[in-house]
Amino acid sequence: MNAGEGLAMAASLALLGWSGIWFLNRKLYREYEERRALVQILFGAVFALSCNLLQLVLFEIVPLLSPQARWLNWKLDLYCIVALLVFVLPYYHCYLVFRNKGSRRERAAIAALCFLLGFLYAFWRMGVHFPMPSPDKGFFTVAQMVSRVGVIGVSVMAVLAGFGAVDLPYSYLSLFIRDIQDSDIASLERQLMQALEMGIAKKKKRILLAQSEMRRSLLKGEAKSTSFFSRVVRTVVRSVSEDEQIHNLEVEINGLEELSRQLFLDIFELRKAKQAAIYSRTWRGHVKNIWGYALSLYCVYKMLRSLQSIVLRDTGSVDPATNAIAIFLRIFHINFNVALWSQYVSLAFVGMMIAMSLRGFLQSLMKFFSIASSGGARNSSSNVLVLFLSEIMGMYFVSSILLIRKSLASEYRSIITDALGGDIQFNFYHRWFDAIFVVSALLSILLFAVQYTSKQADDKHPVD
Amino acid sequence: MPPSMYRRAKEEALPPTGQVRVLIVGDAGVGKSSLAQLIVDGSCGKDVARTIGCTVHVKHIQHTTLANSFQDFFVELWDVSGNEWYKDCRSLFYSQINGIIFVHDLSQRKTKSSLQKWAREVASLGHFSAPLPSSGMGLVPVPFLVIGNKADIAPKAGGSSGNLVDAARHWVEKQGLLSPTDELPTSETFPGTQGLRAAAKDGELDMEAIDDFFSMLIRRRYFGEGISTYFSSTQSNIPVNSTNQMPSSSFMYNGLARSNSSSRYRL
Repeated sequence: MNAGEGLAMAASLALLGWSGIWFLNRKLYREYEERRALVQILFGAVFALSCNLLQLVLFEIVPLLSPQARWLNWKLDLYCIVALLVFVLPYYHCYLVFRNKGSRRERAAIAALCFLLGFLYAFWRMGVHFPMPSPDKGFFTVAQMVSRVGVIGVSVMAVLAGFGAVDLPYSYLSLFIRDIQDSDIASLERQLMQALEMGIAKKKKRILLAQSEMRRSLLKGEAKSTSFFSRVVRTVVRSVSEDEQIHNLEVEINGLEELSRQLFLDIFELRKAKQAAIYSRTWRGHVKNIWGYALSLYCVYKMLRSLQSIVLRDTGSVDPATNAIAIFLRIFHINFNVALWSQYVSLAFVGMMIAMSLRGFLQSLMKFFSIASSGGARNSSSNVLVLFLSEIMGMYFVSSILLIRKSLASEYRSIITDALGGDIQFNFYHRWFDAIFVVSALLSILLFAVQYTSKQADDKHPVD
Repeated sequence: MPPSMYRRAKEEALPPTGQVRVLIVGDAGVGKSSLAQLIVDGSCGKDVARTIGCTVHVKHIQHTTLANSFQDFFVELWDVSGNEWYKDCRSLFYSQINGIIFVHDLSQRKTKSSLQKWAREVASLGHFSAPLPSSGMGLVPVPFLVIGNKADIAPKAGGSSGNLVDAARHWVEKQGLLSPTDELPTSETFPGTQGLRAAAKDGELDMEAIDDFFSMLIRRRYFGEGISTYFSSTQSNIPVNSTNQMPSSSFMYNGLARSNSSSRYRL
């Protein structure tokens, strides 16, 4: 391995890190919260290392660097990312949570250290329930950590995949689009304005009441000296009724503000649904509808396949690219140089899978971030959120390496097995993925069914 | 309680004779709700939740007419959510506007340039009460105020926030490799004003300027003051006179965040 290759590796890592930070700042940070530089750097580092892993898989198929360089890159990458995921990120995460609550630096550091130790212990104990490499090779080897990280990551992947598999057809199919009348929206808007105007009127009344009370107490200060007792009684009686009035007004004002918030959210939902309904009538909408049917068929097929692989405990050992080529050859009886072509077909396949998985994950990231950060959360919690998402991202991509191995032709699998240190039960991860995928898909179907029926009920009996 | 208010309070209280409606707009998270609370209550809470829809804050103003008598008015501050999602639903709130307060974040340069987009949105969708004729300045046909919030965490002039991408971009611009983009003050849309600086969490706000602004709106709406007084000198540091004589354009001066007279509004 020479200096040129080392330089190329470093440059590509730097480029990936920079694109990670750029993505964070331009796409994720939608609203203008307080940002810390270290959080952004950590996110960029995890992003760079994760993408590098995927890049390395591609470099296996189309050999770009020398084998030693690639092997070194694998090892280095895995060490770094595991160190980040298991040690640095949990510690800093906990440290930030404590700092946000206002503790001093030293206290937060100590608390974070305790949390890290607890986390490491739990992390280790988790291995009891799953088939792990035997511990006689050492506790803190890469293989041990990757196997545990893999369990969490595979679960995340399966949950996302299950949810996405149901969500995509649901949003594409025109079957589930509701018809919204303009008059519904208009009536809700009227109600909202009424609620606002009433709130304003009550606030004005409250101000006037408070002022008249102040005035009264002022004047009372100069009142002729009547008997102390009667003055006290007068004060107490008057101010109680005034206070009570003000208190009642405040209760009403809070109720009206809550109502107006709710009405506004309802209007927002209706407008979104209306947009979807309009779109579904265009030709693009019809194409999307057809896509929706195709996707739902594919989703059902995937669920059945997963069920089959769990029940029958068989995981095929032939990768889809070779399968595809074999089918192709059989159908068309064409005779060509399989060895040459299989490499490129493999590359295209795996590349596409990686690209789609990356894109899908980043989209879910954006959606999750925008929901979590606009759900009334405070501004300072966005840093904690980003750290949490960095952890999830790192675990997600490490496990995607574990799973992608099955899609590679057998000559490319060896590097992954070697780099990870052998001893890892890859088949287990596939079965685990399938199980969680089926569960997640079923739960999502349930969720969407409930949501749909409740919206139908709302439309039939609109709240007046 | 300051003696002047004491004196007024003892006098016969006329019921408030009207109200003006002021819209507060700006990007999400710049501090509109904190500023509104600061203007109305004199202090703002530590953690203000994100606004959903619109919250209206009401302030009671005692306006000195030219005859040196006091009349009471209400100022309604309509604090609209800046969230991108709610763009289509917001137009509902833009009715009968007398004045606008544009808020941006001094620590995020982009929020200042997006004020143009806000001005365009309000100008096209809004209904204004007593609008200026179209020869008025800028896009918005009513008087407006620009406030830059978060002066406490804003970097010194020319710096940038903890945003690494912005910092890198700023560095590159300084080396002259990229021309500075739309982060410049948007002088076509908001001519003649440098705006106020404020730090809502610290209670720093030039209440004199705000009160002058409100009084000007009241005079425009209820006392039929024309637009000629609106366009008087803009750039010079107009000294702030006592409250009995309010120069009509005094809200458009290069206000400093801390002026001694504003300290009485800090609780």
